[in-house]
Amino acid sequence: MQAEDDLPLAGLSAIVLLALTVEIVLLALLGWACS
Amino acid sequence: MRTLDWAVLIATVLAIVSWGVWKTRRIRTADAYLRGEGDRFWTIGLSIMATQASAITFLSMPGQAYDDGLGFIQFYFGLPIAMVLLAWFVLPVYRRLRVYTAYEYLESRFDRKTRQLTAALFLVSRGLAAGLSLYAPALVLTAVLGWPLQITNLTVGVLAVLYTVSGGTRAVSVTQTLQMGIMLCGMLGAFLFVLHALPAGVGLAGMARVAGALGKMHAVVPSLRFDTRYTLWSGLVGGLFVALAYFGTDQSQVQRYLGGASLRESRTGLLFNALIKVPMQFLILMVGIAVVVFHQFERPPLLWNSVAAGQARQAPGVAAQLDALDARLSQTFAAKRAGVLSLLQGDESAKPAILALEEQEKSLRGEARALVRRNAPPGQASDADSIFLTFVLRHFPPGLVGLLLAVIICAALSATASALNALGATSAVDFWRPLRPQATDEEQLRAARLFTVGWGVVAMSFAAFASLLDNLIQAVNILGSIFYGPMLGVFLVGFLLKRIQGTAVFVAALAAQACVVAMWLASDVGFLWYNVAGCVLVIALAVVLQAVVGNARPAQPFKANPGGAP
Repeated sequence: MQAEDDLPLAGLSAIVLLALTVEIVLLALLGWACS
Repeated sequence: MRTLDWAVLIATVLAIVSWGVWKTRRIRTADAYLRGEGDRFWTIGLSIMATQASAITFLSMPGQAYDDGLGFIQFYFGLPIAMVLLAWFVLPVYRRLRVYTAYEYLESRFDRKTRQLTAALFLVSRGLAAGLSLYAPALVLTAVLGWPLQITNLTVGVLAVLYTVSGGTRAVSVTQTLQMGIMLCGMLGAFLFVLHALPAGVGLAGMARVAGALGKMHAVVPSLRFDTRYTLWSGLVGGLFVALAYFGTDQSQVQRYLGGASLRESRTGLLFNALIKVPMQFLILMVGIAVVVFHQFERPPLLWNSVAAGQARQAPGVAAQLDALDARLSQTFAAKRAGVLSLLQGDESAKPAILALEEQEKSLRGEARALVRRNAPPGQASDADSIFLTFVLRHFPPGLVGLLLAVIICAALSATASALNALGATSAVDFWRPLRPQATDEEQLRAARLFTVGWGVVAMSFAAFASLLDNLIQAVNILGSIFYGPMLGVFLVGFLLKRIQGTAVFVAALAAQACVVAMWLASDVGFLWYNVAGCVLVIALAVVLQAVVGNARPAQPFKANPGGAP
């Protein structure tokens, strides 16, 4: 990859996918808790 | 509307437009105009979000939550995954080639005809959608506030053209950063205000409890049924397809992240958007949830678009039918209110009755809406789209009404500006420049600006005559899905199937496009499936055609654009 890109892409991608998983779980729990 | 609201609205809109023009006053080259001048990641992320969030998003989504609850949020579950894939695999290719438009990549990978076919599909779909992004909010503003439709269209259109033509991609990005800030503050302010307006002691927990009893809090539906539009799986799979097509092949989005100062900034911008998109949509839907809970304590109107309702009442017998439905709504409301108060005092057994009464209210409103649709003249704002703005005008204090109207106008401006910017760039780069390869930088800049003005005129003209073309509006709503599938298919073949060449994918794209149009005209298949069908058809047909024709000569090397960030 180009020299300009020293971004920890794997780590950031993992954070994004983890955040999505947490959001889905929290939304599911919210629906369950309120029903 | 009061003077303070006008002052807030006009000051906000004029400040943003002036800022966009002033900040980009030194744009003098075609490269700076088309690519921008090196945005940081937060500008890219906010700009991507502002491009996607049209005015109708802010008008419709609270109304959608009011009617159907939080389920729509599942549509966005595929978006973060698409952002990760684009950051890893697509963005580095676009930046390495230094393209101005996504379609230039297709010439480097296939040939010019494939590039121009895909660019033409984009121009048709986005050109009509740009008109709709002006017309749809103007229709609601006309219905609820009585603003003159054509003047609203023209004002928003001219303002968008003004700063887009002046500063190009950079002007769109810097204004969108501010517009997104206004939109987020406005929706947060709206949510907090409605929460505060609930009866004493209800609060956030009580709101969630009541909304849950009304069946509005089912945000995740793990159903495998294909006839349920929004489920966890359709959101993750269908939403991923739509997001890949929209963010990876639609120039109005691609132009936002190609303007990054570096690959690092562009990638971080995409991932930044991935992180905050779902929470932002949740906030917008929660505004609708707060409004529906508010109306468990104060009787809601039977119909929110009072102009359309008033027109329908002129037809013989309709007024009496609407009055009868209204009287039944009063009874339903009173019974439901009693149930909600019992629930808040700890009586969990009230829940089934509340849910049944909510279904009854929805059914009454459905009957009333159908009556209005049959008896009011065509070209009316939908009742659900009018919910939020009507609520704002009836209940919000002076100043906050102006801020919420600024949110809607900012969203209309940002969606229109990024569309015009991309349409102008695609026309100039993918169609005009190949005809004028010796054009000077000054001529290229002038052409890009003229095309942007031209598309602005097209969008405003479409918006001006849209009310006469009610069926066409329905078509434009699904137009994206008709074209996105084949477009995504062409790009996926380019990225994934290295042996397939230009002619095979070109013919496959034409055939797939014809099939999708036939599917639209002759079948009842849900329009979200057009994306999948178009994409799969292009890939399958291209593989077959390539096998039939065999490998021809290798493609000519593509000359990357000079200048700009690598």
